[in-house]
Amino acid sequence: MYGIRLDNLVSGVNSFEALAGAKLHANRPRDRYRYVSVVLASEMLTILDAFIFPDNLDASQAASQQHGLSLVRTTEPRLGISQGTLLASLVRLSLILLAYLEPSSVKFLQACSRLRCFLHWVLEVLRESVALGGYSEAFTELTAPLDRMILAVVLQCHRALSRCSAVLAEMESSPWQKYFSDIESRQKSIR
Amino acid sequence: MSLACVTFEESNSTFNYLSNNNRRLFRAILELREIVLAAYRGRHEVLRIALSPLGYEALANSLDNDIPSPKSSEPSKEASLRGFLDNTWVSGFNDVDVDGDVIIPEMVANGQVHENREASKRGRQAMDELASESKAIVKEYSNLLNTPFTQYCETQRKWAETDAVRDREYEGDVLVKKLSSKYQTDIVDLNKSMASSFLLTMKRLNLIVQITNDPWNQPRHWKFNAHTDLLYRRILFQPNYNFDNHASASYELSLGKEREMYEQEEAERKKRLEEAKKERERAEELLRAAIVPYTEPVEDDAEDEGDDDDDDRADSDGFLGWNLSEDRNESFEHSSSGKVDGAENEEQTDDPQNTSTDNQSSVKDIDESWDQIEAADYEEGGESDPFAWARKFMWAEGERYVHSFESIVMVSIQNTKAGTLLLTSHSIYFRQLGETMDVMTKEAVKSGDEKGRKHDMKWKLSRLTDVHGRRYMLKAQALELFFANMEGETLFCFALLLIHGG
Repeated sequence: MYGIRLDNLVSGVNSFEALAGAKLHANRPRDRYRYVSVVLASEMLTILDAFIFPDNLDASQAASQQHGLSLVRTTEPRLGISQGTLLASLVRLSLILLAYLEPSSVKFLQACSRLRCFLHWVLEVLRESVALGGYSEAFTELTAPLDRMILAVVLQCHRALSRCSAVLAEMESSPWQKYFSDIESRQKSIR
Repeated sequence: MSLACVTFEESNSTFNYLSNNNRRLFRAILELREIVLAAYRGRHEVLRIALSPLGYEALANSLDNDIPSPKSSEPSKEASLRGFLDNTWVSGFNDVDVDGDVIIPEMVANGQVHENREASKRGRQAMDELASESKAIVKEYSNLLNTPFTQYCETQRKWAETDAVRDREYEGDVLVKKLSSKYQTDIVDLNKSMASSFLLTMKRLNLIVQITNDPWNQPRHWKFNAHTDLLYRRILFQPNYNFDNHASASYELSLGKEREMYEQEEAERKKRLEEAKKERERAEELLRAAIVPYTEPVEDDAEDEGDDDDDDRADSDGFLGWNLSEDRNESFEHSSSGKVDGAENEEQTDDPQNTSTDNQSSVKDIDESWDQIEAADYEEGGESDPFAWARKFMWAEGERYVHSFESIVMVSIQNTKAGTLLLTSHSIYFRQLGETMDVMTKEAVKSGDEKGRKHDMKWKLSRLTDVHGRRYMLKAQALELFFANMEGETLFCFALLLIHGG
């Protein structure tokens, strides 16, 4: 996003590749677009992982998670004014993954961790806005966009938790023969 | 994107096992709970206002009751997560309200009443703002994506209105027309070349087929040899390898167009000739009618002895001067015969005197006065003018004497006539003086015979076409004159004048 050209260097980011992979949903355009959106959002957020979660930082410390905030707190004019800051765009992309990825997948887990980081950044920005505005009410002029983001995050988390609960109940209540015909295919799925 | 897969650890004793999927699932649940907890702790005012009282209370209870302790063991953590999943906030509040395009979850504050407390509509308002924000984002992003194309179209439109574009379009049109004409020309040339090559090929093929089928019976064309060979032999015929039967000029190939055109032109030419001939005949008749009262019939008789058809034709035409012409011919016959016979001539010379006396008695009679005047002129001319005999012909206006020749012999195929010749500026006059001699017998023709009659003759120089010098009696002493008739056709001249001593 900051001058790094990714054409043909990182697979999965190109929209044509996503469209080519969406041929399974050719009969339903809306599903195809959703597939493309999820793939692109996942790939773009994966690129940021190297900046957000560097190896030389201790993720357990809260202060270490704030180092990447300066990268995304500005507004990118090429994405439009209504997008808000890059942080809001990242939250939206994470919500897309949270809404459509399977709850037990690795990328879902990565998306949750990333969203948690983004939420901390949002709260930090909100604290700065409250300190700047001198008020703590919700949905004020300075904090309204990010407050709406927090509300959306909570609602999406509620929905994701419901899905996780349903998946967990299904996994624990059904034998493995329901989903795999034999042990070999099950091992293959594990790999 | 990796899809979720469900694995199960098979155990012989119990089904209580944990797979990687289970661990990831629980870790995800833990992350989600941490997110909700962070949001609740960091911005609980937002959740309190935006969520319904019941939902906010359930959320608060679920988070307050299930806060994990740092020293908790792994099974207790799983139990805590299971308890969190089983609480009211997670298991409930799954209903949604659909209001137009906006889907509003059940827990969002939308004026719900709980324990006599009515929730605000700030949550609903926030959801509407989120929806409008999403729409604005999609719209703006679409505009941003379309902006380069719009700018490109605008640039193209502005550029298309410049003179350079019109010039380029004009050049393009000219180039297209030029290429089109060149293409047409090339097509025509190609067709011509293909047709010619095809004809040559077919000709060659026919020749080969002919040689192959009957090599000894192939038609050969011959032509006259204009040169001798190396042995100086003159071979009459030699093969004509470039024979052309001129099939291209045939009627069938040309569809008779040229022939029809030629026939049409020929018909028009004949028609014009006929019209010109009729017009000339009319003019001749008018001229003849005009000169008949004078001496033109005599002239015609003098011009051609055997040409009596003109008189007959003139008679058959029945013009007004027929009687006068007849009278004049008769009078001329008398005068000419009078020249032959001296007695008759004397009688004829007496007649004018008698008529002159008669004329004095009857002056008012026009015909008689005419005869008298003619006779008087003739009489007076005979006395003073040696060529008075020529004056009896109708002299043209301005006609004058040029030269006279004596001892002239006019030679024809049958006879010879001796006499004198008078050359004027307009005509040639001949007067026979001697006897008419037969060419074969060398004897004089009898005066009673038609051939023996003496006639004064006149030829117009305007009809003289050719004059050739001839040898007569082995001497270059004769002239052959050719005169044309009135139709412009050259007659073989009957007059061959021999000039003795001239």
